[in-house]
Amino acid sequence: MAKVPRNFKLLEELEKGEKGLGDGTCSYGLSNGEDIYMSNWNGTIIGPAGTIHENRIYSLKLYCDENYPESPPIVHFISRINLPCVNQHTGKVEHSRLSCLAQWKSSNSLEDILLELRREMANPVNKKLPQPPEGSLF
Amino acid sequence: MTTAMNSHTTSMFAPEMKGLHVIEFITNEQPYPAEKLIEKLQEFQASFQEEYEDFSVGSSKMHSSSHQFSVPFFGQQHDSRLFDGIESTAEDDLEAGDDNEVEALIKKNAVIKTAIEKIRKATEEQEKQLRDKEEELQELYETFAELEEELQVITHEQPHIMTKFERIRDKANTFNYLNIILFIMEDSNEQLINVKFRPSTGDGFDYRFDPGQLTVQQLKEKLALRTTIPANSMRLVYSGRVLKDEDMVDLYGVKEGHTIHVVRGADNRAAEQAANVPPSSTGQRSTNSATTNPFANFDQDLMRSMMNSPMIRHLLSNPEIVRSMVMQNPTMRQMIERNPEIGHIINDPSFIRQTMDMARNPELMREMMRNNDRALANLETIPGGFNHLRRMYHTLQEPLESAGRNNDQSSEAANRRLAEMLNVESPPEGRINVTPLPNPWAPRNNNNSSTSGNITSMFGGIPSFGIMGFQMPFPSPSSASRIANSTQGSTTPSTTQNSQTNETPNATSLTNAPGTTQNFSNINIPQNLSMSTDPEYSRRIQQVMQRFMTSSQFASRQQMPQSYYPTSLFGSPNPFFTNMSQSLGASQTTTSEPPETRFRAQLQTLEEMGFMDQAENIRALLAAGGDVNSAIEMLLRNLNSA
Repeated sequence: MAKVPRNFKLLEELEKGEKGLGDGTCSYGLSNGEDIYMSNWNGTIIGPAGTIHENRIYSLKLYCDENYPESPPIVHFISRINLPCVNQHTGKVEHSRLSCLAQWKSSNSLEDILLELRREMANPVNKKLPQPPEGSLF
Repeated sequence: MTTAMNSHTTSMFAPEMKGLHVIEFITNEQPYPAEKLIEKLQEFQASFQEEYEDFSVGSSKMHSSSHQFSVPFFGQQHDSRLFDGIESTAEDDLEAGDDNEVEALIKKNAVIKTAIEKIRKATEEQEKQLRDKEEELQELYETFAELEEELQVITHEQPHIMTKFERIRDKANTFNYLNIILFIMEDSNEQLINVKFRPSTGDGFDYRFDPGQLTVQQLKEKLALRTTIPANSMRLVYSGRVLKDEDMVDLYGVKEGHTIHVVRGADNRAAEQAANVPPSSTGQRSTNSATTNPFANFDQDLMRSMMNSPMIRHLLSNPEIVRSMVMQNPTMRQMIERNPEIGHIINDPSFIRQTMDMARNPELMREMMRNNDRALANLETIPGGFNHLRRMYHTLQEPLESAGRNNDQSSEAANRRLAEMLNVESPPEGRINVTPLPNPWAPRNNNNSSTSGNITSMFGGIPSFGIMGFQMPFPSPSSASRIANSTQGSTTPSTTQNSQTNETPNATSLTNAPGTTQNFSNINIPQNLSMSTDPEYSRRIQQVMQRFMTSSQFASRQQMPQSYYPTSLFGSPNPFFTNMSQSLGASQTTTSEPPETRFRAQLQTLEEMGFMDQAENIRALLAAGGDVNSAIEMLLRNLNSA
């Protein structure tokens, strides 16, 4: 399979994010529209219904280094959240604790990460976890 | 007539009745046009004629009757009577024939009779209608003719109505052009984009708006009308960011076709949520954060591209349109009314064309500005040129600016502004004529006095003059106080000399700048400012004025309005003199300071030059109003005379 160059992949993801081609539960885009390296991204996850996260919007920042998509991006939660895969001190999503990051494939996208995180929130094990007050930040 | 005859003959001689078609045709409810009926019947008559001939040849019995009836039918309308006759004779004649045949004939006869009646009625009806219509039309024609006549009478009697009408039409045209231009401007300025909105539940929808004109809060309010989510619990998420209520939408770089997620959040948590936005996002595109001012983003590029569009080009290539556009602006119009020169400029098609070219081409604009600056700089080096500049400033720049500001000139605020303006103006004066500026109230070591320098001092002083009188607590005595002081001087010959030397550049510069009087009148000082009531002052001022007026150069060349002459001087509300007296009064207050301290610097200069008699020096300086040059001249003259 042909290796997609970093910028091509990120541009494609950017377009998808701006046009909202996903399922509408996650949103992502460049944090600085003039960033030609497309390294810093913002993401939001809309809390899944029927969980403690309902009616909450979680903000994240994602950093794609020059090895993306060969290596996974670094993902941080900005909104404080109580999830097993999230470092409770830094908000960093631990690679080892999230399957798609642990078994990263170059065909994976930023959206995949956000969706996986959302699934984690809705996971029966996690969905009743006590959460910090809305609006608090890491 | 042919109708009647044909029908009759049909009934008489053709039992099988080709004519039934005709009857069908004519008994139809619809009123047929008479010509059509006639045509149809003629056709039928022709075809029947043959049959009739065959029939009459074959049956001699019928011949006589047919002959008998064919005659009276021509030219006769009394159908019923005739038909009765027909029936009876037919019965008589056909006694020997088949009864059935006769009966059939009678029936058909009746049918034809009613048919004929119908036709007659229909044609009559039609004719009547036609006549009515014609009458109506005639009436309309008559009314029209009457109106036309009336109009002619009106336009003949009152031609101005016609011109008024034309003017109104022109105005309407102009208005249309303006609307087109405004429309284009608005259109190019308002950047509507189509954005998809995707609620977390339910179908998405498109909404068209201008992200530069709406805050997130306003957008939410608009969206609330289309969703079930109230604005205060609505969150908008775009590109991984929660949109903050107070931001303009375009801060987030939303583009055509992009999607904004609409999420229902917890009520009244909007503010808290807003804090969730990463700080890095706030700095982004801050340059883009457009204001609500519709012309804020109307940048030069856009202007240029607009100016290059063929339509605008065409519109603007017509100076008349441009002129009327300018005239539509009330402040501009006011300005033009006040300053006919500007009106001339605007009426000059080549100027307008040049302006348009400039607007189209920023390089050209820059070039023109540079030329302008250059011309101004050159002008300043010419003796008296500075006054031209000053005049230009007063007649053009100032009204232009004040028209732009749209303020009442006579208000005190306007005066303060004027003062401000003049203060702003003065540094360039000082910069341009650096060395020779004779500043009577500053220490001076320089004895050279160039013409331009003198002019600057005298006329640089004058406009500020009026303002100092009431604005500045410390009115630096300018040329006026110098003149006033010179009149105080005891030695008459030296004073006249002095005042002459003062007046010479003064008068020439005045004549160089015929607009100087305008300068004075441009300074709008409130008339209610109390004039000096001290008779001593009045006397002194009168002296000064007389000196001014009797100066032959001044009086003959200047062509002052009557009110400038001393006789009407103090009765006239001319602001110039009001100011003059004001500043004179003010200057008097400064003399309370001993001259030694006041003229310390000047005295020092004089001593350095070798004039050692301090009392004499002070007297000379007092007489010269602190002007070292004049003082030196005076001292030298005194020395010579001694």
